[in-house]
Amino acid sequence: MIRGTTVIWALLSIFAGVSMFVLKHQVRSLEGDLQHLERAIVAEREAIHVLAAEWSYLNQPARLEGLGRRLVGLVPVTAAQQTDFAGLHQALEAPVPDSTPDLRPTDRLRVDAVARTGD
Amino acid sequence: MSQGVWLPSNLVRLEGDRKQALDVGRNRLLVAGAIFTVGFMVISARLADLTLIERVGEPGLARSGAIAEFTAGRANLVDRNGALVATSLATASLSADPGVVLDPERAAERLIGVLPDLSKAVVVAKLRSPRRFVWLKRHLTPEQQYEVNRLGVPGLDFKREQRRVYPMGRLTAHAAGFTDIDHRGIAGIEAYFDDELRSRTIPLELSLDVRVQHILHDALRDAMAEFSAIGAAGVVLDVATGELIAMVSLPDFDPNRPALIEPETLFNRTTLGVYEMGSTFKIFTTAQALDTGSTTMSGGYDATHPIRVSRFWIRDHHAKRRWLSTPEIFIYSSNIGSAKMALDVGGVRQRAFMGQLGLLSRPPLQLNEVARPLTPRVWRPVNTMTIAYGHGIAVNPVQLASGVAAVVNGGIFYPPTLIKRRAGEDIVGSRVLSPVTSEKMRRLLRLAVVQGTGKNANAVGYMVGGKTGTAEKVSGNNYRRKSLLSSFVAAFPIHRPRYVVFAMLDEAQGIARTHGYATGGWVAAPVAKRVIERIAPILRISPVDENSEPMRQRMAVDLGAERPKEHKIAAH
Repeated sequence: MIRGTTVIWALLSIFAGVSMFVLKHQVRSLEGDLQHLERAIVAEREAIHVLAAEWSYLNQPARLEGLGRRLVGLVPVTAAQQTDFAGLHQALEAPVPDSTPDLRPTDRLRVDAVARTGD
Repeated sequence: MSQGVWLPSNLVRLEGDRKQALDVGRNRLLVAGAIFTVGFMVISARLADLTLIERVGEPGLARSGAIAEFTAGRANLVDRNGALVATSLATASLSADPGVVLDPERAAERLIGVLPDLSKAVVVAKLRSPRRFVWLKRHLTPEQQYEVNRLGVPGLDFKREQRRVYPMGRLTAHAAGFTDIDHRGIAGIEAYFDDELRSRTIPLELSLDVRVQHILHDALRDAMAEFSAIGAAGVVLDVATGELIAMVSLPDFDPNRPALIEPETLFNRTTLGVYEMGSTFKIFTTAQALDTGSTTMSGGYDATHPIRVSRFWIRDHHAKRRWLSTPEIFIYSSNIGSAKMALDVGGVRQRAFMGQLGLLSRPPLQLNEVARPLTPRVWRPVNTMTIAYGHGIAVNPVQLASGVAAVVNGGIFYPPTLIKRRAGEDIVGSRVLSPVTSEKMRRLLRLAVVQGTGKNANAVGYMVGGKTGTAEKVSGNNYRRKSLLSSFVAAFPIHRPRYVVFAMLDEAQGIARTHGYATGGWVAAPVAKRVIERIAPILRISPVDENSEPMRQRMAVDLGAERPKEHKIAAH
């Protein structure tokens, strides 16, 4: 009788000890993961910070203007190109007779730019 | 305690000393038992409390305080739309502990192999110094850091440092300013808000719009090159808030390379430079004369003869030699007429009005580089007359622009600012003119562009109103005829003003295209036109039909040029 309870208690304490050890190990490894992740987050934040600076650098208005002019033939919009709803019918009523629909948008913008510098 | 009430007295009967000893033992046992019972009860209660009732114990979310949060060290500067103007990046800086470096000669040789811009003699001298810490090179690139690490020279160390970077480069140079190598602001907003930027975590929003800034910069740079000017300045100001949308001073510098900055490029002409603005001051003179009622739109003055004041003459550049109505005085920019107009208003009132427009004191701008205007110590009638056409008083371009904004926006002066106003912020302004006067001034400014000296600023569709200004620069005690300060101040769209644009060229030289003229109307007005044409679509201002009948009527001014002779007023 006494021997039986002793054995049960011994088994229980061994079980408690082993599970304690396993749990502690798991916690350690999770803590390691957490630290790793936190470091990664800081590194990512720093990278985002650097990328934001680079994005802003690449978005310098002077650079965008140069790229727009060179690659897609964009030029500043003029007052004549804008209208409001009231003036829309006038703009639509006057079709351009020599508009050639086969021009790609880029070419049309170039033509437009050339025409404007001409006058 | 009674004597063992619970012992069957008929079984054992103890007497004398033995009975007493047993009683004492029993009592002690009872007391000890009671104490233990109470103690265990307290422990069990606390145990139940901790485990069942109170929710303490392990926190739900584990925290490890070991890793420092990522900090930039200095808050970002952004423009009004959130585009990054200044930010701080982490860099590695190379330092050394000379006490640990074994062979300075060899170490220096190997270092120069990867960092060729270092001088060997300097590095050797540093590594031989008796100190325990020397900087070798600040702010290395990641590649350089890797290369130095690969050398494996003992005694070298990297310190993590912050470096201020300005992605917009020259564009915001004078407004944002820059920092020294130790990350302290030494110019512009960086210097003014140095402490604030260190403690802040959210970005500081400037009132500038980098797109508008770019357009103004572009136009001024081109004009400066075309007319061989020594400098240029420009301002775009929101008339309803006092916010500076753009502020450009040329020549400028690259804040990313503080070591290469030429000292004279640091000079901010928009705030630190004070100039006699010339005829643009006639806006204030005319506005006050109309507001006080000392003259009317149909009134006028005789501008036939120059006025002699002690040893000099007040003359007109485009002299008409006749009686001029108020609108004519304004659009032909008559010095004689303006001087007489100001005399009628009076020096005391003129001075008070200039003060209300913020032209007599240092403007409360968020920069250290703001100059105090130069004003006459004693306000004599001669000062009143010269100030009427912008001489004898020197103000900076930001002051002029905010004064003009008050004239056109309905008569309310808002102090200029470089910080973005929050949506719904209560902006404190002060009334300086009646709305009626402001409306008249808008017509006059429009007329000066349509018929007067500002024709070159007429950006068709955007209803530009404005005034030219050309002043001879003072050198010593004399005005130099050939060194001009040519400016133009515009407001658009003038029927409902949103922005004031100011452009100024310093010592522009006339060219063939301008028939040799370097006056405001020839050199500065086209800059304003180009700027307005390009910024209007960005600032969502739609073009209008300037020649429509309602618009013509709204802007109509009666010149009243033919005036009978009896209205002539004798010269003062």
